[in-house]
Amino acid sequence: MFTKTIAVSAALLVGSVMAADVPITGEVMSKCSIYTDTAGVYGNPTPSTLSTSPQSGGVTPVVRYDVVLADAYKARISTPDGFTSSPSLTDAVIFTGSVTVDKVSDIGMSGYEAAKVTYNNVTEYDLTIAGSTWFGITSAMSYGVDKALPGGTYKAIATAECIAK
Amino acid sequence: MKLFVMILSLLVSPAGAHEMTPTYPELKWSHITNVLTAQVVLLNMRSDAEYYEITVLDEDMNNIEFATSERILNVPYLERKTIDVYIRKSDKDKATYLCSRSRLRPNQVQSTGIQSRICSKFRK
Repeated sequence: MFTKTIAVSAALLVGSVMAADVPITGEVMSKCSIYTDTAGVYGNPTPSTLSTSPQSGGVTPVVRYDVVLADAYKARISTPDGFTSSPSLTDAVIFTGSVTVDKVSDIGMSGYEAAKVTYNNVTEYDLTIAGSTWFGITSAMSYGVDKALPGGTYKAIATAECIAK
Repeated sequence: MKLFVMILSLLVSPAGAHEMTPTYPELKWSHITNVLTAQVVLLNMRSDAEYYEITVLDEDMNNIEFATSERILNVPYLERKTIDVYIRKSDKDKATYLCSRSRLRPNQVQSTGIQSRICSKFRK
């Protein structure tokens, strides 16, 4: 009996030593994250134009903004106003673009689209609610007066900014 | 069919994030006379970007002189880097934003690439 008691006590002691706590800690800090959700692709619907619109055979780039703190950031998104690389172009190149709210994680963000401010090629949104917002960036360009674009690869860059208020 | 669409969307979507904390870094006195310092942490979860440019700006987004170990930092994918910036005491009131901007290599840009910039605001 005595031996059994000692054995059980020893097992409990050993068990208590082996059962170590594994702490998991996490911290939620006020921050803004910009996710490149979808990379864009230009479609070539007519010989003189390129567009990221799906109707033109392109893919619209999508960026997602995650903000942890409400009313702390504004999103500023610029559509391309030139190519970063392209074949040599000798005629006028005209860029157009727009930014729209694609999806939201909170119903309260439904007002973002109506409240946006647009100037030049820049669109600004006030991120007044914490959560995720997806923005679709449409970019299109036309070359000369119905002039065919030279063959080659065309690359442009849109800028997504998250600026603390 | 569903699997095909899912695989296609994964191929088209190089999802990744650029993140900087905190929102409001504090300017503190550094170990150098008349120089203040602030610290932010940059996290690169973008597989298509590994270089980030650091800038200090005034409220009109004009550059302000500052010092840091590297203005263009190499931050490998899924890594975090702590950035210390130093500004002169005379620029304390002008300095408003501390920004990090992704720098894309031309061969990393697809048809339309996305450059990201996050600006934290100095707590005053």
